[in-house]
Amino acid sequence: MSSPLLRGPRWADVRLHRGALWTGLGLVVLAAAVTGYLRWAAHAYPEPTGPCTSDGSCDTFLGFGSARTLLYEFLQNYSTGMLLIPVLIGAFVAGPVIGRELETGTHRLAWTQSQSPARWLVSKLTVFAVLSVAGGLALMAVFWVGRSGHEGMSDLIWADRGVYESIGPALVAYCLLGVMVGALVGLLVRRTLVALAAGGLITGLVLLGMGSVRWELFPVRTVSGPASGTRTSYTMHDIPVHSLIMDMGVHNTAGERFVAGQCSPGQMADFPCPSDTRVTGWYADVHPYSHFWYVQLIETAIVLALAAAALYAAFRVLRRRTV
Amino acid sequence: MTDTAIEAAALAMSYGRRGHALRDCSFRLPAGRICAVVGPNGAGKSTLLALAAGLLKPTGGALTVLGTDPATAREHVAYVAQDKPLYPQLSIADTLRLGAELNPGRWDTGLAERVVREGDLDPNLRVRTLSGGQRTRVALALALGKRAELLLLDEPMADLDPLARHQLMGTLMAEAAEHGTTVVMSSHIVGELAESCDHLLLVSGGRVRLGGGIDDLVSAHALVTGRRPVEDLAPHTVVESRATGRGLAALIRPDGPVGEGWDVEEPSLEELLLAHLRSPESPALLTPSTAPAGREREVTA
Amino acid sequence: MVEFRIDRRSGVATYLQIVQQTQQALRLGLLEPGDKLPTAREVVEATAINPNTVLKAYRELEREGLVEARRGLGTFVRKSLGSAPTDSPLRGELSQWAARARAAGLERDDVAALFSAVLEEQFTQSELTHSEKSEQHVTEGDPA
Repeated sequence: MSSPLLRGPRWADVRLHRGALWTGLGLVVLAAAVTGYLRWAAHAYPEPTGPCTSDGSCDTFLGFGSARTLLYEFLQNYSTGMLLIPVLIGAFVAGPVIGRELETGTHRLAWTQSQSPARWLVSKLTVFAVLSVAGGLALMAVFWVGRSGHEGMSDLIWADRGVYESIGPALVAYCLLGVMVGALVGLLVRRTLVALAAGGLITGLVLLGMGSVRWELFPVRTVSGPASGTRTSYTMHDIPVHSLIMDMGVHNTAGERFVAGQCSPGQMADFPCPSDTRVTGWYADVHPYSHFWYVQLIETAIVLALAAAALYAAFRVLRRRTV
Repeated sequence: MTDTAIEAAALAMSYGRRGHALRDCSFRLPAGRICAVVGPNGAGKSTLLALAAGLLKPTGGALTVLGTDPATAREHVAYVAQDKPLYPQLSIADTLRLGAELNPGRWDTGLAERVVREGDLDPNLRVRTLSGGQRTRVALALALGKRAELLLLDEPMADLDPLARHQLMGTLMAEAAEHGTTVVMSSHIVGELAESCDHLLLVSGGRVRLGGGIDDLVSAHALVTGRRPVEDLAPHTVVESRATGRGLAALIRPDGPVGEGWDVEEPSLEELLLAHLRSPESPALLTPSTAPAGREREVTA
Repeated sequence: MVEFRIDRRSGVATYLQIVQQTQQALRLGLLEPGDKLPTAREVVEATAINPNTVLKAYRELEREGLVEARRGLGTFVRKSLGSAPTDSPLRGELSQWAARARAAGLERDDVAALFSAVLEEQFTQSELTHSEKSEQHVTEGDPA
């Protein structure tokens, strides 16, 4: 703990939160160990092929159909759990890191050593931003290792919540947002538990909110083809594989879109239908996999901008309170 | 290094709806003094110290610390808050390490460790296990280790047993004697500080009522007793007067010799302070060396 | 090295207590010429009194010619105080005066009050002139 990087206020921040930081490191190590083991097991115990008989030729793996299934289940939950990481960071920075100092008055100890309150905050933000990003990247790397390659999971859909965040730079931005929002909330609330709850909640709400609008951030690609009569099933070989389908249906000669089952052959109650319900074509609005990086980068930029705004506000709040 | 430790001019601090903690507070504290800030609870003593420590932003007036603003002086000022905040999860040794890390280039490890050792404290103890007096000792060790030019101590002795109080006060005085450190200590008990301090600020109702060297303040007042009406004391400032027997006892600020028929005595420091606290309307007194620049001897309250 | 004992309740000014105790130590032979007085730092560390008070006492002792400050070395005793001989003429007069007071029917307390009143009257003037020259910076005067 005596490298030149860990000197002065940075030493203090790491020392004060030693317990939490060891816990975080333990979590990463545990995730890596479990993922590594399951990856190995999926390779070592391949899925039984051929017909299963009741004489036990189909071995189960720890109660699951196969090691691969267990790996899949684990990674599914792992990706959902990744959504919690920014929330935990926001709660931790707001509560124990900032809120508790202001609640118990230890900030008066810190601010009357040879460092200004601004340097105190800069140090905390630097330390926890670096550690959060490092931790987030480590967990993402573990996930990437888990799902890569032959045993890896093409079944884990790139556009799903959790999976989407776990494989792109947006998660790093959310981790930073957690730190900055946490700092702002902690400085405003000045109470450990309330700040902890509020910091986590606000970070989580941004994460959820962005999750519901992110696919609107980039224009969809529309694919379409002819259709006729009352047929409601189309051949959709024109839709790229691994696409996220945002909307699909049929349209009439004028191009007015409607849902075949609701308007044709007969109109069902309460559904808006055009007057002409003769189907002349089908359409689908999709995000092909190639949109992944565009959406990730746009979302990352927005979240980083929010984080920067929270950072600015945090320093404004601090400056208003002290000299 | 400047010859003025703290100078306040019309300093004011209000906490929103909770009203004024300080208003129109003006005084000068020369460097090298051991100053007692006394006054009743809630008089504004803690606010004054926190302002000087750069923890609060005044809502009015100006405050100069060691010739500059409190934020710039931070490195040269040590402060111990009334509730002695420390990180409970740290050991004493780590708390002192914190002082070393946060005060690079000035930290005096030997002094800080000696203060802790004199209290028979095991450095490996965690702060959360310490008693109030032990916390005070560690907080003072942290403040002394900083080797500040100005020590601001808010009720430093309140939690200490008589032995620790004597010992720590001795250490403080020894530091002041050796390095010319200015020490400002607040207390609502006068006797506690009378022997150690040579300077006094009486704060009450958010204002400075008395400021100056203790000897100067005491000799600027007289306790007079006599069988005369109070009007006979006309040229002098009467701080407080009471009937006693068939006559009158009064604490005055003599302006020239006191007339015939009065028995004149020098008041004790305690009598002086109590008289001023009982008579909030009496005018404030700052001795010449402690009036801020541009202010006259008498500052009317 | 002498130790000073400060009695906060005695009513005697703290610096005077140091002056008197030093004089007493000289009379009793606890201090002799060439002996070093404790530094201001040592005194205040042991007694927790204000450093300026110690310096004021030492200046007073210096003024009386009993000690001298040597720059960078400390404060040293210059001369000893012979104790007032028990058969000095002053003591004789005082003894006679006390006998007369007793014969006149005064109680012990009356005599003590009378004695202190006269002491007060005779010595107040000189003390006041001492206390006026008090304020001086701690680090200036003492070579501690």
